[in-house]
Amino acid sequence: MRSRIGKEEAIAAGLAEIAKDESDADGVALATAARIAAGRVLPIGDGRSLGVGGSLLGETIVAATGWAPHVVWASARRTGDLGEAFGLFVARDPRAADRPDLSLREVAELIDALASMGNRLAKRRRLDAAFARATPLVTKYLAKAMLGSLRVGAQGGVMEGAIARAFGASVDDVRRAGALVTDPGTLAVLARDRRLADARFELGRPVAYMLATPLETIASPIDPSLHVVEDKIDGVRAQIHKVGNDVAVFARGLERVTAAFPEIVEALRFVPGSFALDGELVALGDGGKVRPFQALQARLRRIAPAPELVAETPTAFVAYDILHDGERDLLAAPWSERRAALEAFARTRGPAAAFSVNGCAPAPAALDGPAGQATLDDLLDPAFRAARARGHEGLVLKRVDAPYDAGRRGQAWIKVKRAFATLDVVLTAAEEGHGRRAGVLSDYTFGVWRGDEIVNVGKAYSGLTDVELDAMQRRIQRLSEGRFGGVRVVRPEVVLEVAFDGIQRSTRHKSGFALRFPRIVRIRDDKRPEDADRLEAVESLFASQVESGHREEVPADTPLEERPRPAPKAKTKAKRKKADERQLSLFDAGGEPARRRG
Amino acid sequence: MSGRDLSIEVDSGGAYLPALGLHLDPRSPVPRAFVSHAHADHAGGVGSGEVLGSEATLHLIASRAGAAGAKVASPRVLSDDDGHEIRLDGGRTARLTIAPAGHCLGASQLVIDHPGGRFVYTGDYQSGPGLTHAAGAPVPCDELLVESTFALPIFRFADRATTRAALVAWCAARIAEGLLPVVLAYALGKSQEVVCALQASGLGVVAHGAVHRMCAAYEELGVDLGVRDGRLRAYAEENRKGRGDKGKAAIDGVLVVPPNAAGPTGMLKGRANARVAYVSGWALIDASLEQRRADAGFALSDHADHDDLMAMVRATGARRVTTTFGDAEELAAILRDTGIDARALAAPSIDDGAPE
Repeated sequence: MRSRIGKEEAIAAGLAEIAKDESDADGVALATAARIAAGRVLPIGDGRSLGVGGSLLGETIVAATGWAPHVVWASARRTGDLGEAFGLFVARDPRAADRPDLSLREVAELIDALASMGNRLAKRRRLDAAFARATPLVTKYLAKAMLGSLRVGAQGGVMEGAIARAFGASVDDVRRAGALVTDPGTLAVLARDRRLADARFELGRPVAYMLATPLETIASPIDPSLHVVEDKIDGVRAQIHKVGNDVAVFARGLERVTAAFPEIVEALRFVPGSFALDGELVALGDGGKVRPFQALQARLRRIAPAPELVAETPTAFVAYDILHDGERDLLAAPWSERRAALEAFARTRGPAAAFSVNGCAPAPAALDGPAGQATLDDLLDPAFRAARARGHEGLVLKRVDAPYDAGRRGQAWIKVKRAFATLDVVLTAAEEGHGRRAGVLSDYTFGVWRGDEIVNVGKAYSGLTDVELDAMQRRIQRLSEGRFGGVRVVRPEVVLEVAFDGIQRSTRHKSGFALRFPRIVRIRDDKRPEDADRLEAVESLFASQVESGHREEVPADTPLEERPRPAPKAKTKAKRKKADERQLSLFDAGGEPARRRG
Repeated sequence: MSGRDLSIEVDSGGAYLPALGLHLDPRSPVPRAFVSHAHADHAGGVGSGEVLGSEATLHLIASRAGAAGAKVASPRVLSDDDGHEIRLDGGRTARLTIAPAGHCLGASQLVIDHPGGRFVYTGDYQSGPGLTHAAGAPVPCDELLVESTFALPIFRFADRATTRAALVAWCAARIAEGLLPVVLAYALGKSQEVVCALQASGLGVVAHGAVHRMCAAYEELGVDLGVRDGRLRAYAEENRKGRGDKGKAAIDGVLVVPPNAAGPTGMLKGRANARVAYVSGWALIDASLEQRRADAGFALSDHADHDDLMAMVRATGARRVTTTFGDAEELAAILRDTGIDARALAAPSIDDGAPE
């Protein structure tokens, strides 16, 4: 089902049906269903993680079906989804349709038990026992929910719409409450019980972030007297709550990541009173200067970093909003009032390396120009250049009289970014996507010329429309020179124009460089492969970045990646036991889309 | 020849038997090719010096080649009894016959009796009978080259009659709702099966040009699909006849089109009342429906599923099995796990939504 209304109606009908169950007074079944429909199993902000990944579930499938692991994994590749393969395996047994199945309440108990267990073998036993009772249909969807591959598509307000529809509430009321409670399960139960008005911002529980709208040109004049301009910081969005003596850090997807940033916790632990701040996590360089995003990545991959890593790559929190000052929540207060409170807070806190407040300045008067003529980044050029000089990636315009509109992407905050540059590159390989793109060659690897060979500089989700993808699929199959696993190597004939936000050193690519956030602007059929850019162009762009402080020269043997990726599975028991070595993949969860276009 | 078995090499995108100078379903013209059936990904050898195949397959590839203005140079019809002989080194001969492979009209297994024993190439295979083609059956042999498109155990297809009935019911329900049921089915084989099932249940059918052409070719081979008597209507004509103000005529009945004709820019553009069913073994996979923007999927396959393949391989009694197409490595590994000497042919695989 693709239409938004259709999805809303279907989810609403399901929730309304479940809400008829009078034995569910505490709402456990309803909350579980609502969370699963929203594509998650645990409430947002729950400090725990389910700890059920592909490798563990793969073992359960092997045990449940008796098929060899290579058969199970080949099947997962074919379907593009391990949960779907599991369902098909179970469907082979004609008696499986008569299994007792799990009730929503049992699913809730299962999820809670799994999230509370640390022992892998214990988890395996629990999973094996649960799936032994599941019909093929429930097997498929429960596995998908656990793996986070359900892809219901209930984002962007669909869930709020569905809850409103199911319980006859107004969408605005549901949205308002939803931004505060964030967990779709809690929200559904509040709506069922006609208690949406009871939703409150609670210190210690994150609220949905207020988001900025990207804008290139202005449609109507922006009144400079009503706006300020802030640097857009190249870090990771975070909220920090302090309740009593407890400091908690919440990431972009509102996951709790407190243990990952001990120095920030330390810097805020002794500030008197309670508070909630919104801002950005950054890596800190010499003299308190913010380091490029690239430097932060080492820290984003650790649930609890070793002290050496903290010393080597210290982080800081740059606050730009305050949501609660310990006495009252400030969400409804205008930005100017919140800013004053934030500055007052910073004075109480005093200076610390790991905590600072983002600067802001009055918006330039030139903004008031005629609409649609100049691009925003031209109008803001001096401010833009100043921000770049400070090592930041762009600007955010904020309206001074606007409240903190939790969970909304409105016009009160406008972000302005510039693509760093574009390059003409040659397609060298294509890979099949996952999920909806299973079997579609949608991930492209591309390179530039070094002498008379082509060396890769990046890989991007294609960024093309379905129609373009379809045409490219056939072209790639024609140009195919063989396949290695899911990767198809192609004859270098297709020229692509890619935009990107920066260049970093990489050992992944033969060129020694990787483009940051590359996206395909267009297919350059007007160009021949020999017209594509050369490595020298990449080198000189990289040098210009180092000069301006946007990149750091690092030893080429440091493996760098485009962005934090899902954790590779620990290979040995010894490794798994050591908490410090565990990987943090939480920054991928929830908010950030796979194609970050920021 | 090495030992008693035929040696199988890879050349021109498919298997090659050097002792016979014979390519099996090559992707490009070669001196001598066996074409197992008329699907485009198997009939790349249509322009070969000598093309061997069943009478129906040669007819179908000739009508496809004819539509493209080409012709089959030197067709050689193989049959199931009257062996065609190929001379081997040392004055001995190999005798070539064919056996039904199911799959589609004309699809044949190649049976080679040579001094070292019997070699069988299945081509694309299915044991169940179709409405428009014969059932395939295992051929006892020493050495088997077998397809492996749907070899993974996740592929288990329901009984064909049940799936056909479900498809017909789905189409009838859409018509009752005032909607236009559109069936995506490969132009050769699958769509004839669909047309036949729909007509048998009394539903009117309108066919995309490619489907219509292949139905006509089937009819020349004695399979009645209503082309001659006008029961099967051509889409282009229907659209021309009743074109309204929006440039698209209302279609009365079920529209049958090849999967690639129904993309976002294809013939369904502007038909808001179209509801799409994808009919293929691949329809068992959710992503295949999403990619084709299909509202429903019917896994009516013309290939063997895992169980069918395993049963067939066992029934041949082959000492040595080579697998090809799709999940060849996996089928070989699964066969080895059951104690059968099996390996995958190291050929570029014909897969990724292979027609079927």
